[in-house]
Amino acid sequence: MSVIVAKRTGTDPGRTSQHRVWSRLIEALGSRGWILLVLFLVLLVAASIVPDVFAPHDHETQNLRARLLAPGESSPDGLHLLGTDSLGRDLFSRMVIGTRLTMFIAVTATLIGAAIGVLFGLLGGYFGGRTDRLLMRLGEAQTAMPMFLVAILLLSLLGPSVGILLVVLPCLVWPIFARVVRAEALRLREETFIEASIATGCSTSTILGRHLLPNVAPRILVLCVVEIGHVMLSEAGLSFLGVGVQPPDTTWGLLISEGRPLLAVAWWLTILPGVLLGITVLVLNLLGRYWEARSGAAG
Amino acid sequence: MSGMPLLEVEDLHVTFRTASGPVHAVDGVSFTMKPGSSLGVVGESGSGKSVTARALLRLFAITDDVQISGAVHFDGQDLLRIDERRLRDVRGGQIGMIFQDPLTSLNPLMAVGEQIAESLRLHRGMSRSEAAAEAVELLARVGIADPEQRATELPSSFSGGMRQRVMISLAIACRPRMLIADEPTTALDVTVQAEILLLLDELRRSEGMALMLITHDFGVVAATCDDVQVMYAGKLVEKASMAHLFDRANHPYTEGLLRLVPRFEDAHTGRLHPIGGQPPITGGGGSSCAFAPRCSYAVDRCRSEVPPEVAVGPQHLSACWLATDRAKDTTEAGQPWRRAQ
Amino acid sequence: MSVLEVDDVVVEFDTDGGRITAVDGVSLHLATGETLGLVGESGCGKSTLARAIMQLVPMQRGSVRLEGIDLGSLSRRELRRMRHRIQMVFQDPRGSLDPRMNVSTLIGEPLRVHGIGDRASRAKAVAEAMELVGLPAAVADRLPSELSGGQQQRVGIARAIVTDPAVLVCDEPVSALDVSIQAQIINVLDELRDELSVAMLFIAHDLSVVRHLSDRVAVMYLGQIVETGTASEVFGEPRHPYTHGLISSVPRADAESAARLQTARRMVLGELPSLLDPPSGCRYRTRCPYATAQCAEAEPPPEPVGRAGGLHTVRCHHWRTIVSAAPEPQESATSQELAI
Repeated sequence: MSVIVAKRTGTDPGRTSQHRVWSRLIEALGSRGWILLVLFLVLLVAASIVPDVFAPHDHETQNLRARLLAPGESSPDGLHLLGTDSLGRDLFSRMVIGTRLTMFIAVTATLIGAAIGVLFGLLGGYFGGRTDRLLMRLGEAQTAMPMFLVAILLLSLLGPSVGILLVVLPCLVWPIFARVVRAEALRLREETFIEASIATGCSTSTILGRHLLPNVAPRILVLCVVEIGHVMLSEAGLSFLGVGVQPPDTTWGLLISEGRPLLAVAWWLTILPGVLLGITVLVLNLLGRYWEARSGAAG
Repeated sequence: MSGMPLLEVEDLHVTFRTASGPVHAVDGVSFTMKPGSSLGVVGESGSGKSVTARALLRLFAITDDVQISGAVHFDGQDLLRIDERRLRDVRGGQIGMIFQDPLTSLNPLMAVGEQIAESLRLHRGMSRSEAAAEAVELLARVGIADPEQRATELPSSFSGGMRQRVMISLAIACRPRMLIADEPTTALDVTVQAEILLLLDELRRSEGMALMLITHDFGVVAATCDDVQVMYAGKLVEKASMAHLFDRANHPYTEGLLRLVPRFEDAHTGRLHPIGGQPPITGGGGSSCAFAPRCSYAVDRCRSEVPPEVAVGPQHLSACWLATDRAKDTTEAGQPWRRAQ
Repeated sequence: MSVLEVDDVVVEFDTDGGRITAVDGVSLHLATGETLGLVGESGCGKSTLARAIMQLVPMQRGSVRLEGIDLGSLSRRELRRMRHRIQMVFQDPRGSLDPRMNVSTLIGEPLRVHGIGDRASRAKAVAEAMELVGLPAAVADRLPSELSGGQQQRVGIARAIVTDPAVLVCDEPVSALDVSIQAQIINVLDELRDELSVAMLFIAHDLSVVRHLSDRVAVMYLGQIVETGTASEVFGEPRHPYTHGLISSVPRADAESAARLQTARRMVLGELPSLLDPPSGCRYRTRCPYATAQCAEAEPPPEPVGRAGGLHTVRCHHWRTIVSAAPEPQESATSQELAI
């Protein structure tokens, strides 16, 4: 009896190197790793809701005797895990306090941007034609402009405030949402079930809201998670340049900015908030891509 | 000469290893074909009819984890035991094959004449100019008008029916002794199907090829084949001459298939008779008749023992425990299900 | 009384190659409880006609009257409100269902969008529709992807009948299904016809299925109806050469199968002409064994066959001279020449 066996070969051609890095990272997470990522986010959210539970010191208390303590050094007030700044304020406590505004700005700005982008994307993708061209030109025009510079200009003219940040930051992200949603809507529009909905007698708003939106929702959610990280970076950049959040409010970006002049003598003031920001953005990116990969494989 | 079979398949088993366990797609199939004969293989999707044909030539995707055993004697060699290089000579050389979707089997970026000529140079060692001339000749033979011009065109400029003709000309280019057609007309319109079926029948006669036609449609078999075998869950459940089977279908599954579709000659005469349930997804390999769960005639024995093939007439085999009794019924009273209609 | 009247409908499309007329002056009517089978091969315009009747594609000319109301004259909102009286079953059972809605939501949607009944009565109507099409109550919470192809199509049918429409347009409802499933779905449609007084436009390329289900039949070729009549008239005594060829092409499991295919080959010559450049006069003349010079010059009007006022009409100059039972085509060489 002869037995012939054809072997399975596993090649995965045509991936960009950037893509490969992400899929390696996602692979490295394994099946449990994402729990750690979620845990990290849960901690951040908790820190922004009840910062006092996490902060060992009062973040505003100045102690000129305990200025520029390195991480791990103690003052009469106790241990300063991540050191102190030039006014002797506990860095860890300030980072915990900064979490709230950092998260608030990033999440709110992303949601506003997503709402605008999803609306424009759905309308453009579903109706096509002139509506689509108009909306997409608008997005393109905005993408073509150096939006970051415009934001700086705007903020320096109007005076920096959290309110203006929530106008400027959504402008940076809505075209991304619009593009993704439009592409999905264009694809879904050709599906028979949309034609079937029209034949059934659904109104346009029903079709957009009950058929198109739920079908693009998973992608929007994934994109939101990733974009929150990017908005966080933009806010940090603006704050770093002094046109973002103003003291006494604080965000991670502002902490980095405040520590910069002292980089040579107190590296921790810049590096540690920077690391926290970097890790958060990475975690959000990983989670987003992980969900996308999972739902992609399932569908 | 008359007694020598061209193809002799003995106890063919094909098992796919999948994530959800092994699937016995072909489960102990044996049959023979004489030179120039025609055989229709009929069954639902998943019955193993296509896998049987592919196993003859070991045509599986590289990603399939598949195990084949048994013997396939073709023209004095065992196709399951010869090496890949000799098998390539058989594929497209001595055995031609056509599929349901001709577009995926043709190179979209190469003129059809060139594709045929390439095969001729490869298998018949023709020179470039000889092969080009023969390719035009072949296109004319399968009924393509203006073959010189059309030989220079890409597959995308052909209609579905014309593409299938191109596939047929490619399949017969090397004067194969056997042609395997896997659902060749399923994707085609009915008038185009008629032409393709006639073409296959004429080519079989003029070239003296054996024709193995795989389909779900008894009508297609009736138009082109002398013999028919019905497959279910990887096993042959009934073999007969087509003429014999019209009147004396023996196996309950064959009966079910014949009752399943509305017959054109009947005006509306009541409901159709779908076969209840679904074919087993893991194929054969059980210790009972695989059809028993869906069979309205099943008795206890059907659920505990695999039925053997029983001769119920001249050249007529049926793998059913009730075959002998049913054969008596049909000869005495004609087809009970025909009367019921 | 005709519940649906389609009069002289023309649908044109712009394609890469130019403008084509997919539906070219089609008229038909449907009485309450009647089933009209529409047959033809791919590209004949039967699906486009279905979409024009459903007002899913714009018509260049003609009218569609549903229960006496001209759908073309309605505003978008009025049309939407009329839609529960005419519903459609699609070819692709999976694609025509929103993948993110469960079965009961899908079937209840037409009731919801038309504001029919309250929550409780809608739930009851959904349960009844599911029973009518043979869906077990257990699948109510499943998503379309968790159903078999046959079950998906049952959901599609339940959705279409839940508003108790006057007209049901079925566009190739079984051709995407496996043969054993086809029989089940055909039986479901057959039972619906008996239980509801719905008029059905049944579109298919499978002549056996159409004959099985239809009271009357219309045969389409290149955007036109070339022959129409009762199922027994059209399929029993076809007058148009194309109808004859189509019928002969159907492979049947009997001993004359091969001979019949030979007939088919004599009745349908060559290839389907392009819609971009349709033949002058009779659309079928380029493939017709009986074509003469007259066929190239004048387009044949629909002519009644048999008694005046009968339903059987045919569009052919020569139908009187063509003997339907045993076609004896003229020398095909001469007809080929004439057919240029």
